[in-house]
Amino acid sequence: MWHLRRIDRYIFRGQSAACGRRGDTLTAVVLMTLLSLTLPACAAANETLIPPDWQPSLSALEAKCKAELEPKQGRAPSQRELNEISSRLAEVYDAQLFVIYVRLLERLDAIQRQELFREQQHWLRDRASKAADQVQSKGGSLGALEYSGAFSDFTEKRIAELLRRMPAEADKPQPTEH
Amino acid sequence: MILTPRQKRICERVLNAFETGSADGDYGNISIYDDGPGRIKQITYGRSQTTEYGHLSELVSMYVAARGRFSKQLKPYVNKIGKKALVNDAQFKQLLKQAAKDTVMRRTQDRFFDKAYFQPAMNWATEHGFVEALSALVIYDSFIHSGGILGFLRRTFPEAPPVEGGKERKWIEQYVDARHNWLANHSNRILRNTVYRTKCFKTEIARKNWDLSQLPIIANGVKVS
Repeated sequence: MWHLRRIDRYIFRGQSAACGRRGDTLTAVVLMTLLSLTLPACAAANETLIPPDWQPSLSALEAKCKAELEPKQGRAPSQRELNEISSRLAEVYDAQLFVIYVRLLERLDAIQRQELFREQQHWLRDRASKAADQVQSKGGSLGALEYSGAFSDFTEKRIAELLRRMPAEADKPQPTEH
Repeated sequence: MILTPRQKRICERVLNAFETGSADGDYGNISIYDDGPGRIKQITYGRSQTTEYGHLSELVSMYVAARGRFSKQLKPYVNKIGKKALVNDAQFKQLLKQAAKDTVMRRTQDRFFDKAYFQPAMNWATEHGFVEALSALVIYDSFIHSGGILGFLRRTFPEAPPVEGGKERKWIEQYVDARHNWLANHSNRILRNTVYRTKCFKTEIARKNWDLSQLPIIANGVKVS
């Protein structure tokens, strides 16, 4: 996202300078598109992306989902309810992973970012196929729960892995003066 | 295996309670899970939990042919289901919900459920020599919950099925125990909650309710009679 912000700035400057010249604007758009594809690999990665006091938390949502698993009036959640709760929890963990991933990216230099991006892409593909492999109840109502449970399990492990790799705040690349 | 209409109704109601929390079932339920091909989101509909990329087209087609109240509006969707993603089509989902109030849709879903789960389960039971109603319930439950009798579970207990000279009640007892242990100790903690199914069967086995005549049966807190 940091490089896209730079591109936005460039586009708006380019557009105002080339006011009334459609050809120039088109050139700028094409150039920006190319830059958006190449910048992540070559630009310096030392901009602050996220306001430091912005710490979104999904833990309340996670706790709410888990509370729904408790029996109510002598009745445990039905299979349909369990499938829905498990599916929601999987989405919460995925969102948690996204937050951790972005926070880690912020602390890496450009080359490390590219490496992490590729690694994460590969991991995401892997997660989907490994979670599907965990489904034993194919064609049954339990299948969806087996899948989302495995999906959550892999995601939680990945969160722990990325947290382990999170450098301390002091190690974060310092912003560059523009 | 032959069940009386009453025994069959008890089996269906127990399974409805396990699946939906109501013995009557939930014909209009629409859930969205990312369990479509390539893990894309898809619609899961009705008592039979029919999926968009599974048999929903067949179910809607059966309903259209049966001339229900919403058949005309649903007809244009028959050829789209499973080919074009309808998970965000609010009109289609609304029509499915409305159609669930139509007795024609309810009968269609019952027929579909029979064809997709009940008949295959009863065929399996017959081929393996089972004759008792409680055995039918246990086997039917596995077909709905796990899509069939899982081979790896069968390998965990010694009793042979009746067709191979084993004792029916002993096989069912051992199978329910094996299934219970699998669910209760599963690495997926949420899945462990589903042991209310096997607990219910253990209760019925303990009170020797092999013909399902002792009612009510308590299915996850729901009284089934």
